[in-house]
Amino acid sequence: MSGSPSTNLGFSPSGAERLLTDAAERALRAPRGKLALALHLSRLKPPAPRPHHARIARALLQDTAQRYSGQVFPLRNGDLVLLCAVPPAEGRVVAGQSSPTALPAALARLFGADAPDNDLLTTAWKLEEEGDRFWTFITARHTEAQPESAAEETAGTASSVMALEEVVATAFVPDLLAQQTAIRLHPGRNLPLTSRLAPLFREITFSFAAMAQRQAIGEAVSDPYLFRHFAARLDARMLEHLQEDLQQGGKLTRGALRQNLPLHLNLTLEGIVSPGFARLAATAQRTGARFGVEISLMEATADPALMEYGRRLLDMAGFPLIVDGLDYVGLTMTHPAGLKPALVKVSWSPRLADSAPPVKAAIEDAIARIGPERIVLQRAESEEALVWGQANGIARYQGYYLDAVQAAARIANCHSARACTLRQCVSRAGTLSPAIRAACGNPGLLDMAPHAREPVAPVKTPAHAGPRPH
Amino acid sequence: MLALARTDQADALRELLRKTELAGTPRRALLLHTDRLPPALGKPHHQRLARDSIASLASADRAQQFELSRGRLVVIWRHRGGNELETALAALSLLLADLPEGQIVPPGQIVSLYDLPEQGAWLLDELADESGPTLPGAVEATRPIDIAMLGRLEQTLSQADVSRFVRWRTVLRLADGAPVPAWEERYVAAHDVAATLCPDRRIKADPWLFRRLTRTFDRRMLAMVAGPQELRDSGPFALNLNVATILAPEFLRFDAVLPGTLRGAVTLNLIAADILADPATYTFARNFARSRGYRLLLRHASAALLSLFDVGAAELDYIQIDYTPEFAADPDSLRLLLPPTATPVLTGVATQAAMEWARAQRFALVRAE
Repeated sequence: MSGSPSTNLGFSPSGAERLLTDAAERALRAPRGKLALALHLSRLKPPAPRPHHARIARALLQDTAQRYSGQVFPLRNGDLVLLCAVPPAEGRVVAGQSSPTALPAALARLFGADAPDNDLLTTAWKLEEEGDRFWTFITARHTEAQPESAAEETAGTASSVMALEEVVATAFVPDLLAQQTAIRLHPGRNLPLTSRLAPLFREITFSFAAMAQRQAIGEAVSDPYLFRHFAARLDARMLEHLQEDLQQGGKLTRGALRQNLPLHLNLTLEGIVSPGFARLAATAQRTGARFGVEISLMEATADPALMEYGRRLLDMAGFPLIVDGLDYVGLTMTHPAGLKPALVKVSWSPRLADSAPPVKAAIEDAIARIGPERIVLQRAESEEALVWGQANGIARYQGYYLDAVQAAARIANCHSARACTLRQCVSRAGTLSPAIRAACGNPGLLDMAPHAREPVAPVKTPAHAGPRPH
Repeated sequence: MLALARTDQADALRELLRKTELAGTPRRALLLHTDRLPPALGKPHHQRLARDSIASLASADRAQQFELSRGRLVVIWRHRGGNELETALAALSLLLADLPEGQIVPPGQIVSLYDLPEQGAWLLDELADESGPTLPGAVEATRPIDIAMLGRLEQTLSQADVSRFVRWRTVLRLADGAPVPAWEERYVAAHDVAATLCPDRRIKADPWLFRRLTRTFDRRMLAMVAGPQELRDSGPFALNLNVATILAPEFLRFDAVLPGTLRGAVTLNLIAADILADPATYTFARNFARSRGYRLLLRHASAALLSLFDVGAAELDYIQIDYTPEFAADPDSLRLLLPPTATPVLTGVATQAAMEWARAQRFALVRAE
């Protein structure tokens, strides 16, 4: 073997890289029976690698290191390198004792949901035969640009939620509300995208961005349980405010009301069984406003009996149920159709398209069980999402990419858009905050969903049919 | 009626049910769940109105009344053709009609009826969480837990020794002969924690704050079982945990000291909502736990849950099914939903009759209460 690393490196590595280089130098002097294994956490795609990935992987590698006189080196880029002896007799894997040669398969299984391509996850080198390549890997670590250190995930605390609750209790509610129009995409690949859009519903949510301007929010929403508790407080404020607004003619939601577009609300079960919901339902019945209610499957499974009760309240109110909160993993281990929802919202992730074949098959099965005609692909933030969705028979979408397409169509048809950027038009249409919307010179068009049938009223001549995107 | 302390009343009710079963005395029983009144009827005066509404039963023959925890009330009487029950249910309907427009409450949510002695076991199941001894003069828990109280509890428990709150339940294997212990379930008795640290609070009133609190229970439990000598003589056992806890440093420390003899003999009990809080993290935690020889169990499975959650796809080893009147009346409805890949564990088996029923239904594992 020719890769004996006796030469001067020409630079002075530091920290773990320094330790690894020293250890590798020693190992490569007597490479027989030695093995190196790199776990490339740096190759996982966001949101991975998360702190628990590194913590658990390191514990597993440490375990092997202890049994096979080795050592683990956590590199600055997040990768972990194990240097150890090759086991003398192979083939026997005892529970909890992974031999270094069995590790790549064990790690591939462990990271199955996060690493679609197992070949990219680990690299193993038998030092006797592949010492050169291992050395090349190490030297490359010294010269590569270091990624920005990922922010450590902060655990939510009770006090952070208390501070947020205070913000929500005292703020002017519309300033905290965001809205987004979901669309149905008509077939016709050769037609421009804007001529294929029809509005489906408009979802109203609390805007984390708006709340974050008033109070640090990361901690509170990083804990699913504190967040669900907090969400019930949000429900109460939203229900109260929307009901009052509707009672007074629906100033906030006029755009959707005029187009007979259903308004979707994300509610907790606590919100649905609250008096605030009953009041909104009664007012909706009186005014003819249409609503749909989105419930996360996590909420539904936490208390199936309360879910059944909540479902009856929705039926009585005439509000369709929409199941929300399914990601590419949750999709394959649930049966949202069991709730007989009008729609099921699946969150776009590149994993939907690039997962390993068995996972992909499970995803396709899940879509077939739900029925693609009932699926809304949300967080569709790229053309890739639309391409995947259409290939899987999905016609309903929601996400920034479509917000931008709609905004571009508005700007093209707007008489007062000369100074507006696409981003401004998207963000003004995406909020209920009067302060932000006031910057738009053509609010009638701002709220107009694409291809709406009703005439659009320009600002000054309400009777006149306004521009319409084609 | 004698003013017994609450736990004494639960004991007295147990005794009466036992006698009724032994003697085969026909009785009717009504359980009023004031804790299940909808939030719109959540004020203290609603609780009072609900209790008053069944007052007509007190005049029935041999009527006896028992106060249970969480504002629940049991009345047992001999039915002699009177219309006390109809009067009570009508009064209750009037109260429920006070709900804001659009809300309905199914009667089964507030009231359960039992024919004794046949259905005594089901009523006994309702007493399962009445075990904790209440101190004389204990404060009645009336206020729901709130976020500030959660913060204080987390603070107090963060370094506390929880061993005095830890309880055991045995899961039995029903073989041909006498049942043999399969494993012990260790858990933190939440009601006892509350009775000690915040006696005036209903600790489960906000389900999400309660779930959050269980993370602290998890960590303290793991710290306890990882203590020196703690597992030296331990047999197979199970812990109720959250997914996030399996990936926490406390679990790694526990895993490092787990004796080799217990490797493969520890079951981790999870709930579906926690799994669905972050399914990708669950699959990672599951794969990790598997690689270290742990088994995984789904708690609180019901027909409604199984119609939404795919136990087979989640690759769980065991599935815990609560013995309920609905299930006992129609065992096939739930059986059809059971995945072939997971072994059921029947819980809430509180009487010999329930045990026989479990055996007849070919349950291999039951949790005796």
